[in-house]
Amino acid sequence: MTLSRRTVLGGALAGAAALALAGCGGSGGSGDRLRVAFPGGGSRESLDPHVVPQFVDQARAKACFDVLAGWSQDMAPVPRLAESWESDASGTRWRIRLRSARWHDGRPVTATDVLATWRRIADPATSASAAASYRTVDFATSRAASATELDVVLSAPNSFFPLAWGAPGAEILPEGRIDPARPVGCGPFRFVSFTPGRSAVYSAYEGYWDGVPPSRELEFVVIDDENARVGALLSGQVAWVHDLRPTSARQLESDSRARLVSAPDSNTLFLPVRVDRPPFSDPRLREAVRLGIDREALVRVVLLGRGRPGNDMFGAGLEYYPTDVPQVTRDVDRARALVTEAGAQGLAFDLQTSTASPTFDPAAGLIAQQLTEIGLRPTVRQLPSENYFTAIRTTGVASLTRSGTLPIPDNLARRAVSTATQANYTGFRDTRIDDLVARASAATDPAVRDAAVREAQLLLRAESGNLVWASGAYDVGTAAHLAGYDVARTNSATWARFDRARLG
Amino acid sequence: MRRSGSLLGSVLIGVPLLLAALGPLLSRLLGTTAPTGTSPLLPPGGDFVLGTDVLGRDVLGLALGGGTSVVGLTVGALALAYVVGVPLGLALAGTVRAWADRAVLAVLDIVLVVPSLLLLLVLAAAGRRGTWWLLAVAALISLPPIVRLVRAAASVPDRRAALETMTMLGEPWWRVRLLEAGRLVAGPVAVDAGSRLVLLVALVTSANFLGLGLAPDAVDWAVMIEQNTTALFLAPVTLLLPAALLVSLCAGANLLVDQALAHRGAS
Amino acid sequence: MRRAPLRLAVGVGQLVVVAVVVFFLTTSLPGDTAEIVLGQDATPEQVAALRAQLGTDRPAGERFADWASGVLAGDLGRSLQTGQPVVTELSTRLGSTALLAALTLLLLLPLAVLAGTAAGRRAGSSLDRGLTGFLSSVQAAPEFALGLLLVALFALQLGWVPATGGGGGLVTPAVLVLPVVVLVANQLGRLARQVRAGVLTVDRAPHVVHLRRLGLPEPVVLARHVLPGAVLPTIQQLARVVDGLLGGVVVVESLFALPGIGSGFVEAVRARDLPLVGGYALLFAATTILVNLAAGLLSARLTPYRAVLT
Repeated sequence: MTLSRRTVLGGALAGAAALALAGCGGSGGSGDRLRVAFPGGGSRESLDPHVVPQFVDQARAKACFDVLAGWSQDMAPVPRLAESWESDASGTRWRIRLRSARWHDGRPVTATDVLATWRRIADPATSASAAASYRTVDFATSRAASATELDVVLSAPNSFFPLAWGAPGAEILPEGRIDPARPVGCGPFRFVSFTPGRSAVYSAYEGYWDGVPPSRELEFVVIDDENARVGALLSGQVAWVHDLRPTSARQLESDSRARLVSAPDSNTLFLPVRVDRPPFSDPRLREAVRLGIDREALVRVVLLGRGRPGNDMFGAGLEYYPTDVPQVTRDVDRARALVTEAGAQGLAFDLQTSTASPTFDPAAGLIAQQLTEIGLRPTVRQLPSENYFTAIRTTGVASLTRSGTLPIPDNLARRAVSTATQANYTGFRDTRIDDLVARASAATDPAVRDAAVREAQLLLRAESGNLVWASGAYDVGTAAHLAGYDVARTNSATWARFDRARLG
Repeated sequence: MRRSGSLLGSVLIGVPLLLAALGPLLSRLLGTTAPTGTSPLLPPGGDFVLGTDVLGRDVLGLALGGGTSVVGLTVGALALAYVVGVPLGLALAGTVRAWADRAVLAVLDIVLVVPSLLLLLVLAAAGRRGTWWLLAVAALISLPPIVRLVRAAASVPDRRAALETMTMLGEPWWRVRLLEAGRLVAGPVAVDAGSRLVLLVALVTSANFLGLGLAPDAVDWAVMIEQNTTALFLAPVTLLLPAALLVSLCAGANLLVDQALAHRGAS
Repeated sequence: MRRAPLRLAVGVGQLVVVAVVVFFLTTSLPGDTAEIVLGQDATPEQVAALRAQLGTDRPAGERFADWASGVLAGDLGRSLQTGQPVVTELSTRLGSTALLAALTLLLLLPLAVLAGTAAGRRAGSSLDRGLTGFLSSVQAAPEFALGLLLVALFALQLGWVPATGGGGGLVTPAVLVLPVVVLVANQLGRLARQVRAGVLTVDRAPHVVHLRRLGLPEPVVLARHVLPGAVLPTIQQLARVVDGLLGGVVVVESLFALPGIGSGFVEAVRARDLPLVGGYALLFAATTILVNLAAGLLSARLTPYRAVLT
């Protein structure tokens, strides 16, 4: 017995040693396979391109499918499957012409595919991410004029309609061949295999309308831990990683093995305070917080200087952003006077945060210190990250949130109108915003449209309680020798698009 | 030789313990708190002897002030677990009612069987964060192994004869079962305490790594390690200093226990 | 040995309690699967629709009854997130973790006995102090800090081993080297010291001294009389090693991006995926109970005197 035990043990040890020796560095982006890494825990992990709550879902959808029009860097529509489009003077009737493109099964992309896709997105049973943008499509009267021409009728004028085509989860699907388990798309990569929570593999589609991708294979992997993402990038296991911390970004800047491709102004950082319940239903206290936080210090400490102070409006650097509004700066005396005037010295409240973004915890700590200096008494309270954004819609009075880049009109129409439920963290509901959005959407004169958008932005700045403390970057790193991927804002057409990328 | 080992052990455990006890006071006297909004990751030297961490806090101040909570937490949890666990274990070893022995062990084993991480995950998700909850969970999950260990150690064969003899000579049960038995389990318990301290320190730091522990802005060595993981290349001292202090605490405690035991065994 | 059936029955009882505790602890968490998987941009109507589809809008008691009756019939149910059977989810992740744990234990147990015996037989020597000091320092370093340091040194600077598992499963066996080192380092000190203390006590016990005096060869004394008594308290701790390993595996799998049951369990709790959480809890509990049972039987065999004296 002793003998056999010894033999077993010896054999096992020898095996372990052999295993250890067998490894020879295992380089990840081997040969023609490009590997890219995202964080992504807790997602539904399906391949349905219309249900894309996480960035990794959106990127997978982008590889396999395509949209009518994407978003440029300043969030204007750029043609993709749609070659051109025009509307009548009212903005209710649209004619869209498709380019010639083929599905992975060889059949052509047609106008009826587009209509079927939109029906699916608008159907509540799909739980589609972009459903709100397609509610006004009148399916009874919209029709395919030919195989590649589409006549769309909207129930209300919407000059921003082409922006809806580039929203996350607006990918076009083949009519009658929708199978989330084995997706057939018309994008640059063909589906190969998928293991939820681990990896999705795609191969280059030789019939892609925009040219055959130079990487023969593309693999998406999910790596939740940020340290592990950085390690995987630096040791060459993956060639592209999303969502890094500012410290890691600074580290990559000085590492010859990697390149930082972070787009400025791709991450808006908010401090929403509830306007519909005490204490911040008192406008004096909202003003005190606005003047009490030190945005310069927040950018310097939390973002390591990689960003710029916010001016309480969404969308810095984008089309329609008002640049002539004076920047808010810290005024401790005025803030303290406002706190005194409101009779709120020593007012205790919870500042809610979570690890949902690495910037939240440090920002919450610093904001709490800064607000203590104006006479308030905030306590940092950490909530679970997994349902943080839904929890803060119903609980608490102050929290931290962030948003990737979106076109300003899209943000207004989907998130700021009084009927929006999705990203309303302050309880601000005002039909004046609805009127302004409607006026901008119906405007035929660009000057009228710009004026209405501007007025809505200023109204939100003054009253919505959505303080913007900084505009920063979603930090993205690539291998030093990855060619064909440029700096891109989150949600833009070229963000996480790998059909030109190649390890050189 | 032995004396040098004890000396080394005393120094290793003494530095972190002294810091835990007097550090916050010292920090206040030296004024090692960086003003709000100080730039993060400043190199050592200048206004800040050891530089600043990723949150722009004075690393020296954190090292001085950050021991109190983590040391108090682990030592407190340990003390609590032994106060409950040792008498319980002795009583179980001494009892003649085998069913009671087995029943108590079975109940305790349930705690052993529920993954300790699940308890932490649940507490954190339910918003129960902070020192006291962590202390309670740490003490609770330490209890079953302590009871098992004490019970097993009190049943070591060569010592039982002495206890049997004492019982036959008419000594009261508590003297036999608790005091005498207590003396013979003291060795294993001391060794175990050293290991368990390490385990609890690891639990507290791991809890912070998984986002389940103390408040993210707490001045605490364990939190400091977690906060500064990404600064390993940019400002190594922010990560290595608190880690070294915790390692020193654990290594010192273990060295002292082992030396004491070697001494006892030799005499 | 005749107590084995009773212990098994107690084990089953424990499993039931654990299942109940874990299920209701998880239902007590804020948020539910529908809300979490749909993310921050979902409307309340969408969440309500998915909730109805998944059945998470029903009372917790009713859902437990459903799940428990399924488990009794041998069906662990389906994951709420992916719709896959729980058994499939567990088995796809089990391989990687089992390999990790097996390699760790294979290195851990012999190393602990070796180091503990070497240190215990020369207690107080510089070998003893060196070993003890080194092992407890390594063990005291938090797993993730140790892991980060090893990655920085051996993967990023020297490039000897890969930094992570790459997230896509085991690419080469070399990805396991650093995780195993971290896990062994964290458990070794504790076990070795337990063995050392045992050796120290038994080595000087009267019966061992007597056996030596009788002229029994030293290896026989050591193997037949010292070690069995010395590892007795250690064996009692094996169940704890399993729990410690699980905790370590969660951290290590996260740090090295290995898709095993540690990270799977955390994800399941985060998504409030009750059937999956229940499956994991049963798996962990059953493992711990079996190890405990084995430890109990083994230590009963190694303590012949107990049966005589009680």
